[in-house]
Amino acid sequence: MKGLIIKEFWLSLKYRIIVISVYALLLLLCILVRLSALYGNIADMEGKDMLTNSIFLVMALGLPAVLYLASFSHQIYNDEKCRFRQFSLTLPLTPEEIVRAEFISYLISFGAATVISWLNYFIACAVYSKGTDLKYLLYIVIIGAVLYVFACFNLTLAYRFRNPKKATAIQISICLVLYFGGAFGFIALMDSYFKKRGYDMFSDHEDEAVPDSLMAEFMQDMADKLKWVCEAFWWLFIIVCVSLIYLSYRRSVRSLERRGS
Amino acid sequence: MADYENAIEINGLTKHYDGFTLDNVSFSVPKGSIMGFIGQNGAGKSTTINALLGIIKPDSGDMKMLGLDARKDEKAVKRDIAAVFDELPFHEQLNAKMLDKIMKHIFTTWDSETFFGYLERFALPSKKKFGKFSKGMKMKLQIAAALSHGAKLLIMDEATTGLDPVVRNEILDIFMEYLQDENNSILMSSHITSDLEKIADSVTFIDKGKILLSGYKDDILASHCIMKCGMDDYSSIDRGDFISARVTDFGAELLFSDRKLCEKKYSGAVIDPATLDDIMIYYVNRDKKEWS
Repeated sequence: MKGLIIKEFWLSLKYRIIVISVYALLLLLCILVRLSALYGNIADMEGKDMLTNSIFLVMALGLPAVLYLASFSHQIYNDEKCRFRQFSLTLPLTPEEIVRAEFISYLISFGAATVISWLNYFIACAVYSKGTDLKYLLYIVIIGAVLYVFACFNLTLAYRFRNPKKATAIQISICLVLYFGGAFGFIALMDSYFKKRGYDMFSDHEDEAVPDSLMAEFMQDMADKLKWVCEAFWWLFIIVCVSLIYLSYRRSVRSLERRGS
Repeated sequence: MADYENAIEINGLTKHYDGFTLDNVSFSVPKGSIMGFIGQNGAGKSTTINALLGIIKPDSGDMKMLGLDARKDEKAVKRDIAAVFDELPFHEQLNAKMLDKIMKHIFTTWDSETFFGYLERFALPSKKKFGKFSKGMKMKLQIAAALSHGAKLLIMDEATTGLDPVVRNEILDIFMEYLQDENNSILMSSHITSDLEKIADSVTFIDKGKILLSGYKDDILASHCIMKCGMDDYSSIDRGDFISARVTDFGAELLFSDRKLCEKKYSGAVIDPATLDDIMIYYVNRDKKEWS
């Protein structure tokens, strides 16, 4: 199994070097903007603070996204293409070990991306002279965990269909359903919230239009509810993630076992 | 590892696909020998080998390798076997050094010294990416990898297909060397019968998913013969005596599976020894009986 993890590492090395180079370049740009805001030609510019705040957000939130992007690997399709998958079935490895190697490779990549993202956050705070919020480190872990679940699901589809086009099409369809389902659900929730208070989001009459204060109230209400859900049901998030990863793993093993049946 | 007589024992192997059935395949490869597995494209050679290697799941049948059940003791069996395919199953971005490190962690018995020894012998660069290897180099690399973990059984699927005669010869020499250890055995599928004629101890013919013949090569070659005759003589030959006949304007060539009967019954006719190629071609056309 260790041999397969090493193989995964080597095969995705080139791709990761490219993505990490992009990350390093963006990091350098963010630092240069800060230096420029402190000592350079934008030091006296109006709206300088807004610009540096935006760049801080890019550095603290955008760059981890780039790092997680480097964790996704598509080697599984190359395994099929060069018939390594077929060859791996002739090796003294069980289907569980073959699949586990892929899942562990991903876990190592996402773990490394999370650690670098933490370091990145501390660098961002130091460069932009901002205080560190330890909650942010937790947010990075949550983002990493969600993306890891997504990557595991991707592996399951790859084992199930062996065809990258088919697997990608299914994944995109599921993402679209989740995205539009979430968006329409949120709009419906907003609509019912405002209707209860005598306003209509979609009305053409000005007197029925939702005032800005109510909109702000709704957003605050949602944020409070989300915070409450996160605090009260954080354990549910862990259970859901672990269950989805386990289901993806079992399903991948089953697909590999059923191969050639 | 259990003591065993046959490196491979297959009994009643059946696998059904839409349009093709591997039908009740049974044969065995004696320990310390090399068996040629012969058949035309689509005859069922790869299906049999894939079932043996666990790449596909058979519908029924028993398979034993190195004295162990190929299904129940799959992991133990796979530690001591090596598979060589017609195409390199490694990624083009890898090189031999990387492959050594990967295999070292997969096979506990992997011997890096042996592997690099083979690379040197085959003049294969250890840092060059596999994508830049020629077909011959790729095949040599597969064989080097297959022979570097002390495998007792080598299973090859069309391994010499597409190689030039010089490389093929070099590879066949390696196999002969490998067989110097009487515990080692080889099952080699090919439709290049000249290679098997050179090195195989026994052969198994498969056609349309069924085993036609299986036994020692010398016995098979000794029992089969080609009889040449004119059209007048041909019409007087009992059709049940021969496998099939190639009929041309100049006469007929018939394959007999019983040379003694042929010599006795048709004395005076021209009788030549049959090659494995002849045997394969005449058996493949057995249903037509007469072909040109």
